[in-house]
Formats: sequence, C-alpha cells, structure tokens
Amino acid sequence: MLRTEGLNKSFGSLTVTRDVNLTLDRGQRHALIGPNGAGKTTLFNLLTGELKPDRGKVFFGSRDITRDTPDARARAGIARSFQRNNLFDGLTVRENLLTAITLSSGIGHVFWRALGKYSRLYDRAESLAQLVGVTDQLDAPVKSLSYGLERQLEIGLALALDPVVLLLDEPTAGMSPDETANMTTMLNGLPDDLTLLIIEHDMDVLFDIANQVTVLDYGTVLFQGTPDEVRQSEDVRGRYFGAAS
Amino acid sequence: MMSRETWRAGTAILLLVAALVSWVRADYFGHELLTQIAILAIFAMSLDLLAGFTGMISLGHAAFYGLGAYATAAFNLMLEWSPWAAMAGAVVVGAVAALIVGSFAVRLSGVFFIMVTLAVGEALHAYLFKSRAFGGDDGLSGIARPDTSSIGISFDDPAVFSLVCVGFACLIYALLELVVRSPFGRLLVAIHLNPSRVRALGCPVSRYKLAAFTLAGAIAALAGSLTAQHNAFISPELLTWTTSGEALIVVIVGGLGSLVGAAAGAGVMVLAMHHLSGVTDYWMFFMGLFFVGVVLFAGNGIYGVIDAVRRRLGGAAH
Repeated sequence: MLRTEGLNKSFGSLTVTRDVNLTLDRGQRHALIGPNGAGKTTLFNLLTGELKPDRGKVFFGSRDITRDTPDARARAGIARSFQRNNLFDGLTVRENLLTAITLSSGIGHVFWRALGKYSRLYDRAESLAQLVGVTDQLDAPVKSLSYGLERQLEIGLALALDPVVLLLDEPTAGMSPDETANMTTMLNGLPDDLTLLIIEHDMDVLFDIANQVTVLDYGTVLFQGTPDEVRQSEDVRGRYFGAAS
Repeated sequence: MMSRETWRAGTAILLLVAALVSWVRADYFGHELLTQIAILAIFAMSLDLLAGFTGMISLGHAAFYGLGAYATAAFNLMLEWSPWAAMAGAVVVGAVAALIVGSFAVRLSGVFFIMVTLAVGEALHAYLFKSRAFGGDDGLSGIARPDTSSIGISFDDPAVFSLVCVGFACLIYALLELVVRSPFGRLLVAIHLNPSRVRALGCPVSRYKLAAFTLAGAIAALAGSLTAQHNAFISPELLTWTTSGEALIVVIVGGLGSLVGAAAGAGVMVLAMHHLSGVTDYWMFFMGLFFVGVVLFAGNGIYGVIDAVRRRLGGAAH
C-alpha cells in the first residue's frame, strides 16, 4: 500500500533517516518505535511530503509519490495526525471537523453556496465527533478543550479524510489512562482495510493495536517483526527497553 | 443569542438604511461624499477578503484599484468603448493582473508577501507616472459615465451616481458575504489560521489563495473604475502605496474579517476626514491619533464593538 525504498534524509551533517525500507500492507497495523531522536517523526514527514528525501523513493500503491506535495498525498488518501496538537484555534470543534470534511468531500472550491446548506457535512461532523468522543464539545471553541480532548479531535481531523493510510504520531501522548484506553478502543474499531502506521511510546497500547512493528534507531531500521518477536529480541531489548526494564 | 450571521445581516441593513436616509437628506456635496464612501467601501471589502479572511496583508492593493481606473480611461478614451463596456473591461484587467501578480506573490507569507505587493504597486505607479501614453503624472481626464438618457435619468447627476455606487457596494457586499460563507470562504479562514494543517488535510493552499487574490483584484478594479467615472479624471496618485495603506486602515478601523465592518469603516473614515479637515489644518494628525486609539482600545474595530453588543445581549438574555 505504502512503501519506501532506500529513503535517506540529512539535516546538515546529521543523518536522521538512513536507507529506510518500509512496507505497509493493506489493513496492516504497523507500529513505529524507537528512542527519542530515532527519526520517527522525520520518517512520517517524508511519507506525507512535508519533507523531501535526499535519496530514495516513496510509493503509494504502484505510484511513485516522492515528489508529490503534502496536499496531493492527502487527497490520494494518506492522512496524518500530528505529535503536537495542530488544530484551528479560534474555531469550534464542529468548525474544525467541517474544515476537514469540506476538503474530503471535494467541495472546497464551491464559492457560490453557503456551507450551511450542506447538511450531510454536518451529519458527518457529528458522527465523527461521536467516534472520537468530542460530541459534548461540538460548539465549544477548540481553545477551551482539555489536552486529551484536543488530542482526540486531532485524530478526528485525520479520520475526516476517510483515509486509506492513516499515520498517527503519538496519539496517546499526554493522555490520562482512561483517555488512553478510549483511544485504544477507538483505534481497534477502525475499518479492517484501513492501513495504520502509528508512532507510540506506550507499549501496552502498541501491543494492543499493532500486528507489525518497526524499530528505528539513529535513523536506521534496527528490527522488523511481529510484536511478539520484538518483545523477544535481545537487540531491541538492549537498545530500547534496556533503560526502562 | 442571535446568530453571528443574523447580526451581521442586521448591521448591513442598518448601514444601508443610514446610507439611503443620508442620500435623501443630502445636498450636492453630500452626494459626492456618499459616492466616495460607497467606492471606498467596495475597495475596502475587497482588501478585507485578503487581509481579514485569508490573512494576506497587501500593501499593493491600490495597484488593482488604479489599474481599474486606468483601464476604464484607456478603454473609454482611447478605444472609445462605452462606459459600461469600459467598466467590464476594467474588471477583467484587474482580475488578470491579480492572477499574474498572485501567481508568484501568494507563495510568500508574512512580511515577504507585504513587501512583494508593495514593490509591485510601486513599480506600476512608477511606470504610469512616466508613461506618456497614459498622461504621465498629469493623468487623463474626460472619462464618461454611462449614458442612460434613454431611461430619463442622468448618471452625471451626483444624486443618481451616488445611488448607483451604493447599489454596486450592496452587490459586492452580497457577493462577498456569499463567498465567505461558502465552503471556499471557510477554507480561506482555515488557511489564515493554520496553513500547514489545511495543506495536510488536502487543500492546495496556494491555489485557494490565488483565487482569493484574483477575486479581490477584480473587485478593487471595479472600485477604481467607479472612481475614474466619478472624478472623470485619473492620475498615478490612485496607485500609490498610501492609497493601499489608507484602505488597510479602513479595514482595521472597521474590523478585520467583517465585510460590513469594512463598509462602516469607509463611512467613518470619509466623514471623519471631511469634518476634521474643515475644523483644523492638523486633521491628519488627529486621524492618526484616532487610528491608534481604535487599535489600542477596540482591537477588532467598529464591528468588534458591534459584535460585543450582540454577545452582551445574548449574555443578558440567558
């Protein structure tokens, strides 16, 4: 579905992505882990087009999208959430969701008809709000939301695109245990054919959701396998879990 | 609480009623002032679409205003087009020019966008200032207003022409209000708030900005065309960056991001200038103080105050 070939990216003398080959199959729940600074978010940015690689290619299906802009990739079906909440401050929750839905419905160019007349978009906003658990806050300004709810809305915006591939950058970071549990349940309830790539530090969440794990370290792929294989790998233990356990 | 849309429409109707009442009561000079206000309102609303809604602060918007005026003069005087055709032609010229300038300017943001629009405006001003064909710094005169003698009214009558300009202002208000409520208009606001996130959601941001820039250029050219017909005279003065700056002041005084605010701002500024200049030679100084006062004490301008009343009423009702 989404595949990289020999991806490289450096910032000055610092190589943050080194010969990364990654393949996401359709419907796969793929986790990306690694210590801070391993290049996980950079890899995300290379996949979504916010950054262009120095070398290597990104394929979506059979198409080379290495040079495609972030908006073209989003329209093709690659959606992402951000590590830091990246919302439309000054708008309400409903307006935030509507912004994303407007774009995914392909009516963004319509300038001759009021948005208010598209009632199906409003219905969709409400069902999305329900899915990510922000129904009670629909008319609240985003600024008034708790951190956890902002986080949920952040995922809601990405889901609004009806993505084929969904990239989530630490969706549960900073969430309370309850909120994390809700998020995990919600993610497990996503359609089976949705391909998910998730950066996650919470190992419980990870083992609950993922069926494939890639471990990054200093920009290179250290290990790839199932969650069980990762758990048993001495190498990963030493590099990643070493400090913790 | 009354919805924002209803309140805005109410304010717009109130403003129109004020314009019509003053039209009935006005003498010759009053009609001239009303014409000025209506034209400035059109120009300011077009700039508000850029600055207030899309977050593109242009200091070169007068370039399209001036181009509209020059195109009207050129079509009318040199090609001998009818005034209506010249006006339509001017709008097309404004749109095309904005499309060309926008195709590189919209990729920039913040201070770079400001400086590029300023540079384009000044370059065009410098060209027209020197251009013999367009009268150089003397400008051109003798631009005609539409001939409507067949229906028994004369556009040369200030009373008629001021009403026509108010009509155009209403039309542009209705058009822009539709645009800012549309999916496209809501996305312009989203682009203003968080361009990188809209892009990540699949919005070709530059193309949307370019569309807004082109529309604003076309409307500014319409305002310029009306000015050319109003004064029957054009000069490079119309394109100076101070003309752009004054329009920006009108938008800020009226309240960024509210079309009716921009129109009200035009009224306040023209009237304040008119009355102050009758009282003191230092009227520019007092206008400056007034602007500083608005920015400091009413951050969202005139419409910010009007909207605060709505929220106050809503709060009291609950």
